[in-house]
Amino acid sequence: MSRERRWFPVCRGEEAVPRHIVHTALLGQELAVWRADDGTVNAWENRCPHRGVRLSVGTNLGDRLKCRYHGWTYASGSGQCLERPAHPGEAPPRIVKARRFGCVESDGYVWVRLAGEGAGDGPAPGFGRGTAPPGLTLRSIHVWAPAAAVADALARHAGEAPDGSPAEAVDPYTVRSAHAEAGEILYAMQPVADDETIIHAALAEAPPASERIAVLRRENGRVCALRDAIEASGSP
Amino acid sequence: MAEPDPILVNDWHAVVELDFLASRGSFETVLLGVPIEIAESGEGSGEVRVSRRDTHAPLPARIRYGHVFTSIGQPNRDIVHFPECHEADRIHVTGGSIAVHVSGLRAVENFLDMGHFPFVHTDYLGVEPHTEVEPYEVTVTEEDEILATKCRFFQPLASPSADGGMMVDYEYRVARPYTVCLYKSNPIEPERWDFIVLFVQPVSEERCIAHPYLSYLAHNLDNETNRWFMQLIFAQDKPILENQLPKRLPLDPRAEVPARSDASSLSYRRWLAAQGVTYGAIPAAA
Amino acid sequence: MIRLYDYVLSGNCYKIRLLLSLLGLEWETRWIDFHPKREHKSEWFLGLNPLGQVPVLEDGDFRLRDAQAILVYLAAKHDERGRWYPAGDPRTLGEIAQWLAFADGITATASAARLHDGIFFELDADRARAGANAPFRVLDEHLWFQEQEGREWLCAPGHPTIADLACFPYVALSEEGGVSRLPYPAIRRWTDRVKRIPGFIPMSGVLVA
Ligand code: FES
Ligand SMILES: [Fe+2]
Repeated sequence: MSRERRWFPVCRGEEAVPRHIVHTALLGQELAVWRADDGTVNAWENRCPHRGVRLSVGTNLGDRLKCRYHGWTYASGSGQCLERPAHPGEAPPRIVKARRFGCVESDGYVWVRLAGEGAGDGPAPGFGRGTAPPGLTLRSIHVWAPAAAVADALARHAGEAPDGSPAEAVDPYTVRSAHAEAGEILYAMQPVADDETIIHAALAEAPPASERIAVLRRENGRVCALRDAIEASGSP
Repeated sequence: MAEPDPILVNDWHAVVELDFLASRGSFETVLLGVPIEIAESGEGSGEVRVSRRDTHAPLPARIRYGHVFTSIGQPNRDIVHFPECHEADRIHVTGGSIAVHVSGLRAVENFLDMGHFPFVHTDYLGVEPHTEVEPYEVTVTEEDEILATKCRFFQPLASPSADGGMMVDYEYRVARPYTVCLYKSNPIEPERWDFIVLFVQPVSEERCIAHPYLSYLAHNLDNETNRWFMQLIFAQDKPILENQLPKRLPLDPRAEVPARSDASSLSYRRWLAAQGVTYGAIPAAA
Repeated sequence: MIRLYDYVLSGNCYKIRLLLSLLGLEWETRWIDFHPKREHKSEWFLGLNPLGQVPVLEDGDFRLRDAQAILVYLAAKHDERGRWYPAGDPRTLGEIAQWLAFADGITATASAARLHDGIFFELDADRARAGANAPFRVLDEHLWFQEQEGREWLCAPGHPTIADLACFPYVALSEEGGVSRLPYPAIRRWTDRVKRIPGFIPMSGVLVA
């Protein structure tokens, strides 16, 4: 299975806010992820076809993205170039398009894969819990370390299951743990680049509303501590 | 990293602004990957010494256009001559050198580009909806320089002395691979041109220092005003340049998608390839 | 008349320009040739500010240095609605003071790296860059939890304060010092919100939203 054909989470769906462009990367490929006003989420190569400027420094106009350098705009969905303001009123050639990647929203996250069509390789986008979405998505944590090292550290430390069983590495990028306080937690790695990873995490069961913030803080603190330990050790 | 091309090695490059050198006495920088030092020879003598920091070998030094120029090879031609820079009724001032994390060739191409004015220099050199780039002419001269003429653009505040928007005429000239200048119609003396030259110092393939030098028709302008305006404008280009991917300039015409308005950029890329410039570029696959 | 001793590429000067403009005030500018001439270290300027730093503000015969101090003064004196610096709200004033001090930490790291990379300041830029990650992590985490509680700004009120203006410039300029904001998505959403405050003005290097 090639990593390029696998779906990875790249941000919490609710963080792809309207009129904003998320700047992220997957396997070293920079991405501009943005939500159109109609709800569509786009994941594009972070590079304007014209002169290569990062689209993430452009503007999300709601149905199109506008590049910062010469104002070329690209349509949500198709990526088709709609305007080249240096030549007003002239339709751009059909071949001028932003480069798009496969992108779906599932289980509260935006999932992207760099190559492939259809069902593709590896698990379907999502946490693989069938119809039950996670109860609470946690704060995603950026770590200056390779995904393998992060997943390994999570599998060894995140567990502390009530029955003493270790956390389970579901696959190289997914860890499931049963925590004494929080219950089942799902961790999905986003391999940003060789030495950079984002940990996306979700609780299977939602806590009572009155405890939501406290739980978010507690789990954030736990993963940040793990991040600090991984970064301090330099290797897992 | 590629070895610098002979055409660049055996040429002069601006490496420090005199006003800046005067404020600190000596300065360390890098030219074409070679670490160098520039130092004032003696208090107020106006002389400078340039040397390599790796081998300590002395390098030639010339003072021109408010900058120190040097070469890491055997210069086989003089520093480019710009007559406007010697006219007494103009204000001559360096603009404040600024380092940019991108190939110097991208910086030159940006300097040649009018289409970005409304989006990058909004309310100064351009403003929507005045975005059209009318057809202009690009030629390679007998002296093997690129010349773009009959360029026109609507500018809301073309210079610190402008009051109100106007159509501005431009001419652009690429004199050396890393040296580019522009002539711009002056609002008060329509028959003469304001002049700006950009000497780009290739630090490495992906880093450069832009050294601007301005020769403006005086008209009540002072050095300070010219300088802050130049820095304001150039610092608007900097984040754009630093967000260009890849950092080196692709010479393969299929690597990026041009429009008609990019005629000067296309000509520049072809000309670089013909001159054998690869440093700071991604050469087209053979 | 308010007079600002200003350098066009200084984030600390810019935050004053930004507040002046948000407050709808008129002011006069005295540009300082910070680069290349280091005029801020000249004898005459040291007479204005012995620390040799811009900005300096004069309001009539009153002179003040330090960007954060100037924000406090201008907001306290000229903001009739009392929103940018809510006198009489001790908690918010405390929070603001906390973030004003925090802004100095951003200046010491992210801004230092930018001065090194852009206009040749001699300092340990890698250390400055690495140093910027600590405050950026704190800021990103804080803003993420603010969002979770339905808040958009650094402090508790439902509107921006001078805390946001103090921290904004050198965060928004960090990439000029080689500090990417890719790891800080909540910071990126917040900078978009700051750029959409009515009356917002940019500076060179700060891209409008
Ligand atoms: S680089 Fe995007 S429009 Fe020119
Ligand atoms: Fe420009």
